[in-house]
Amino acid sequence: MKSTSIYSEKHQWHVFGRDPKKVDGIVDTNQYMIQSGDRTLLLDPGGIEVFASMLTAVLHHVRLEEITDLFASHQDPDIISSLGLWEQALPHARLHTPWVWEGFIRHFGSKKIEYVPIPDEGEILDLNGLKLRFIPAHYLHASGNFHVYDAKAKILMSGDVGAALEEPGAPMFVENFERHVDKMKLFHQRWMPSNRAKQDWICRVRELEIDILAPQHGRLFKGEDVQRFLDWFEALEVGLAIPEPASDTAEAELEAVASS
Amino acid sequence: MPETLTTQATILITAASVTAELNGVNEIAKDMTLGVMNAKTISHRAGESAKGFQPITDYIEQVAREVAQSVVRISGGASVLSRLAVSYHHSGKLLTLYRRVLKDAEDATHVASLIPVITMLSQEAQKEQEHFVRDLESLVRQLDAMKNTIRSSKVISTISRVEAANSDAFRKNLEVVADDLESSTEKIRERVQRCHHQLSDVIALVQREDVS
Ligand SMILES: [Fe+2]
Ligand SMILES: [Fe+2]
Repeated sequence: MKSTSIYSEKHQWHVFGRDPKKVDGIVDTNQYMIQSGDRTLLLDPGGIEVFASMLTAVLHHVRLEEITDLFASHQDPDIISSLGLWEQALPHARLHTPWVWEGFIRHFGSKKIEYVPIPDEGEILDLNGLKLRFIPAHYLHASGNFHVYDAKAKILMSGDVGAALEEPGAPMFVENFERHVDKMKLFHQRWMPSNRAKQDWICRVRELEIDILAPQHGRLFKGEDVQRFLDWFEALEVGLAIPEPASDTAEAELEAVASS
Repeated sequence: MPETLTTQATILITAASVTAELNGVNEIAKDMTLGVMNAKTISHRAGESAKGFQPITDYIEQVAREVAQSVVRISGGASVLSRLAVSYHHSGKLLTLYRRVLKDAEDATHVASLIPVITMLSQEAQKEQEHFVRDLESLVRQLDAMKNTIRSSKVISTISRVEAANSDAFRKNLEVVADDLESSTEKIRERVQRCHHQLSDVIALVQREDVS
């Protein structure tokens, strides 16, 4: 598992991903870790299949007992199916997750861990003095969904928003936004169900100062690419798996036939 | 069992097969109850000449009842077996996984923080194994008790044959009752024996596994 430091001041951000030991056929994921003094938060710690590589990578940075908090943006298996494995090593850690998903996430073999349900409007987590904001991102793509904003590092961990399905070993950051669009388009059109939810999120996120937008799959966006991404996403029609409704004229014709 | 089956698969298959055998035993016990009702009617009609037969039918009734009760108890145990197999397998797998990380992370700065976790997992896996073996052994003991019930029922079928010989008019009918009892007893005995073997094999298999 490749480990990259993306912010290193008084507190640190790491991204883990591009796992060369990853089993074929499972989608590659980015796992994040924030270290703040003697407290550490793992963000979307990943699926069962990446657990061993992820734990190995994490041990290069922190002792197990320093991992005090876990965050799951939503309930997907690539986000948190490793929970039952993590909690063996972290019986005293707390899991922050959208309140709607608690009973579902427990299906991932979790018995001991303490759940901290995040209310729909979001909340602030104080990680040893570092204030992290859980930003609502409902329906992007899960019906209960949060992102994590660190105002100090100006990083937004954006879950599946900004995700791209990449070749193994792709670089960590977007280098050419125009070329990157092809790798994101279908994913966002299909996985994101609601234009209204998307617009709501865009408005909220435009108010944040963001240097790095850090999705759970594919490359991270930095600098001007963050705004480029927001503009591109704002203009994109999503929720496209449902066929277009019949046109007005076709409907009128059908009505005419029915009433004749 | 083929070598390729995992211990967990073997245990789950055994649990299913023991349950199926016990369902078979239950069906036979039901037939015995029906048979004994028939025998009671016959011996009642035979009157004085089948007087010695009546306590025998009472006894057969009791055996059928005992067998059915044991089946309920042991079947409950067998279904617990499937659940235990899963948790036993799970604790072993966790330990293996964490040991693998310990090896992979040997050059990691904080690898030592894994040691207490592995010690705890190893203790849990051993406890799980002991618990599992204890439950298996208790199932085997219950099967043994059932075997004893069956053994005495064999003696009764011999006595009932003698009694049938004393009842001239209903001799044929009562002989059929004795034959049915004998064949039911034998069928139950075979099934119980098979369960016994399968459970003993699983105990040996689990005990051979080193989870320390
Ligand atoms: Fe997802
Ligand atoms: Fe995802």
